[in-house]
Amino acid sequence: MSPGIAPGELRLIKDNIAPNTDPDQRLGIYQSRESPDREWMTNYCFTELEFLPGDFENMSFKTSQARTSFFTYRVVCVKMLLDEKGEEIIGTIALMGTELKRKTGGEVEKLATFENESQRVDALDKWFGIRLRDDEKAGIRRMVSAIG
Amino acid sequence: MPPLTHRYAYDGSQLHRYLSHISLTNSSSDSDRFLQSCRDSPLQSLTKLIRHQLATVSFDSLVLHYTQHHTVCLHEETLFEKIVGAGEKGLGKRGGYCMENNTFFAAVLRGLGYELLTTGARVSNAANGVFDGGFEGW
Repeated sequence: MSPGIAPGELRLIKDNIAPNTDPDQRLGIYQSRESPDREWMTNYCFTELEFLPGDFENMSFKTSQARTSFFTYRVVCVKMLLDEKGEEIIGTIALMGTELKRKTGGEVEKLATFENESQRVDALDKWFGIRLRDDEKAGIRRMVSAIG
Repeated sequence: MPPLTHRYAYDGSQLHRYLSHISLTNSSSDSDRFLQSCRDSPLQSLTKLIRHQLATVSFDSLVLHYTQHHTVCLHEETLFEKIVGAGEKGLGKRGGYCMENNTFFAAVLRGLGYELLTTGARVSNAANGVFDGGFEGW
């Protein structure tokens, strides 16, 4: 177990997962909890099988092109925050759809709610340093993810 | 034809630009010092590297919304131009989603001399707010 973004904690365990029909399977399970008094939550499971570039191509196709993949219908942008000395990670700033939130030390602060594309595009620049070209800004027009 | 075991690694000049991009170094002598520190104290350097990577390169889905093509490309050169190059063209720092950023970071690590194995993970339903013990596919 090791500290995550304070006061959070992270750990790695090796276990069978609930969907396995084979009880002898063991996977690495990466878990986190918001603070020591909360329940452990599973984030990912993985094995030591080496995945090859072709495997990632297959996986990426579904994740980036299927209408059921949330990446295709929601604008998300998340970045971690370093402390003033630039050493420890102390929180995150997350843009999800029309909301912008900052989370530090377990506290969530709502920074903005976007009512139009212009506000969200400005926020990407202001909070993430992401400056989009005109053709990029236009790319979202008529998508389900567009605001207004 | 490169052998099937060939994996991409960014070269010295790309690494120099990347280390400056993530605010880890200010000059080429800084870069050389950091490359040496990856050899002398690999875990400590990796820790520092990952923190700066995570605080500079966003995890985002922007390529599927704010582009004309709405597709993801996992080629390392494309990713380098997107993530590091964009920051130099006055377009501002760019990120990517999991497979983009990890493909990119793997090429960074190999360039820095780290040996690595790439593998995939299943995202838990819990991470998406559904606490049924299930997972999405790899």
